[in-house]
Amino acid sequence: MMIMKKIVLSALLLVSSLLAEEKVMKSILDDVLLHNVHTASLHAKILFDDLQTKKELSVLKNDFKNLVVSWKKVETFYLAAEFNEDSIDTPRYIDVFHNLKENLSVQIQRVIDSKDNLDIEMYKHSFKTINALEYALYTDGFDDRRYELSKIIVRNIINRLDEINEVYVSDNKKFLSDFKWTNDVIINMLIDSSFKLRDWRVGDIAGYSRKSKGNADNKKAEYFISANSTTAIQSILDTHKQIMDSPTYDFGDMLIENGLKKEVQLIRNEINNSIENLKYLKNEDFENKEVKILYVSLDKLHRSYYSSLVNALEINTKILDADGD
Amino acid sequence: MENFFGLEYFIDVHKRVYYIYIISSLVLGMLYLSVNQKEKRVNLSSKLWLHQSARLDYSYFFISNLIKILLIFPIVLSSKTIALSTIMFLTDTFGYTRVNLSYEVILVLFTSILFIISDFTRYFLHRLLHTVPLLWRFHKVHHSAKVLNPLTFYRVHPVENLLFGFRYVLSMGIVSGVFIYLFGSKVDIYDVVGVNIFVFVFSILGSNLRHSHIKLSYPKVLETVLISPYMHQIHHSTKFFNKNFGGTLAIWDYMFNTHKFSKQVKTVKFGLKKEQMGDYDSIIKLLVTPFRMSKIENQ
Repeated sequence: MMIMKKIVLSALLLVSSLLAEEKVMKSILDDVLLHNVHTASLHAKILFDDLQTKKELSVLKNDFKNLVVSWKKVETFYLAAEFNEDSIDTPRYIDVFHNLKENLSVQIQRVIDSKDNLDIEMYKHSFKTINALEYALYTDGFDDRRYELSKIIVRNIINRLDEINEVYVSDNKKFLSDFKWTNDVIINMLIDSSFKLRDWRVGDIAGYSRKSKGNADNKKAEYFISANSTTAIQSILDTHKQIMDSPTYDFGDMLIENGLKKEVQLIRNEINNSIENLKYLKNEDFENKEVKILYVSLDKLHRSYYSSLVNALEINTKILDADGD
Repeated sequence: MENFFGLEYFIDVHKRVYYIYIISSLVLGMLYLSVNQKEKRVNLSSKLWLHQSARLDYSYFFISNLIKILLIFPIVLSSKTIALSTIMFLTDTFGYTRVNLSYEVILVLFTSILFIISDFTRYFLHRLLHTVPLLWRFHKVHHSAKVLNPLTFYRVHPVENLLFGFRYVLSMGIVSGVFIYLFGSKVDIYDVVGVNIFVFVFSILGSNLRHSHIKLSYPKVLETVLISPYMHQIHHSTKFFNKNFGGTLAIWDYMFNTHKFSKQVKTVKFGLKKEQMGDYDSIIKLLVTPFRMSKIENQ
């Protein structure tokens, strides 16, 4: 009778755990992946409409800022490549930060200065990215040619976001059924994003990363021209919060139920600390010594993700008997 | 409570004397004796199982377990800490990376490399215990057994336990760290009831016969790859302390010229030199002798 009870109890626990996982994955798909890509698409469309109606530059700049915020959320948690391998390069068609060796500003200025047809001049993928758009909007002389150029870029961004949306809608079967795989890709993505946030977006610029040790240079910031780098960092951290520390039952809660309470609490603390420490990044000045405080909290966040992964792997801490002899 | 008496050792799959491994060794031993009737008398004799050395093994098993719980386990670093430090070191040195391989390939790679590295470090440390005079002092405790039984495996000085603990934590932590650095959350281990498949298979194949008087040997070809129970008994013999250091794999002995095939040794006599045996005939002496400088003697 006791054994029967145990079997029934175990089966119930298994079913409830599977249901909880399914609920979380569905919520991540709807409330994070699809929601974020819809918001980015909406912001891109608003910008396009304002370009179409030739709204004044301050309006366009505000639209651009909104797009940066929403696009960073899509990029931070970009799982489309996991859903469908063909989508692996899509983010690079929208954003070339850290993915381009050439000097984009010089090339885009050349396109602006040219008298040739823009449809021909804008032949490179990198010319149609958010980075090129930033240059067009935030450097002097916003004329008709820049309006047209910006429209080409934003149209590209809208199309690419539509492609991402399509993948999330059509190729989500594995995501909603193979929970081990889903867990793995989510954790990998969070680790990947936390590293890029720590090194690419803060450490390299403030001179704290391995690559740029000691050589702080504000010009290397992601959105140096538009001074939207802090906004971008905030948006990335908000995305981590969306997944790990949202007001509703989230991925973090699911990990807690799987025995990782301490690790999740640490991650949540570090996300919140990093958001709090953004105050040390005053006026986009990464060269300010206080930025170190932000860098340290981002480093802790990155480590805490790995720490949860190591603990989840249940590496045996016992001194194995297979010793001695 | 059972932890303090060492009883959990018999129901813990990570332990050498896990009941399944004991049963499988018993079955193998019985099969061996049914073929080698002459050895039956010695192996089933009460003189062997109640020998003073065997009785010391039994009592030392309980005492050493207490020492491990109270003194050693709290000292040994977690392999998780080592794994995390390895990941961060690699990330800070080489930058962030992800290698894309299938789950199946990663599973096979991680399980086998973990086992191979662990077995190699075991061989290496075991060899050091014999070749470094200071370490040999402590390892002599294990070799002071005059007769062998499965609990002789636990006749190990706490300092040696500590060294093997560090060895395990370091090898496990570093290998896991490198794999997590390369493959992220896709890393997983192929286990049977929570134990690396290789460790489980080799444990079930008569690992407890290593410390016994069942002279089970393997065909020569197999003995170049795996340590047979008799090969380990040869290691315990007074003449061949410096041979067959291997844990599971014999390839390390073969590669580093410390290999001895079963066929090469007809008879074995266990223990230390006669004049040294008196220093290891009680629990207190097993624990204290290695620290008594005047008693240092290299064999």
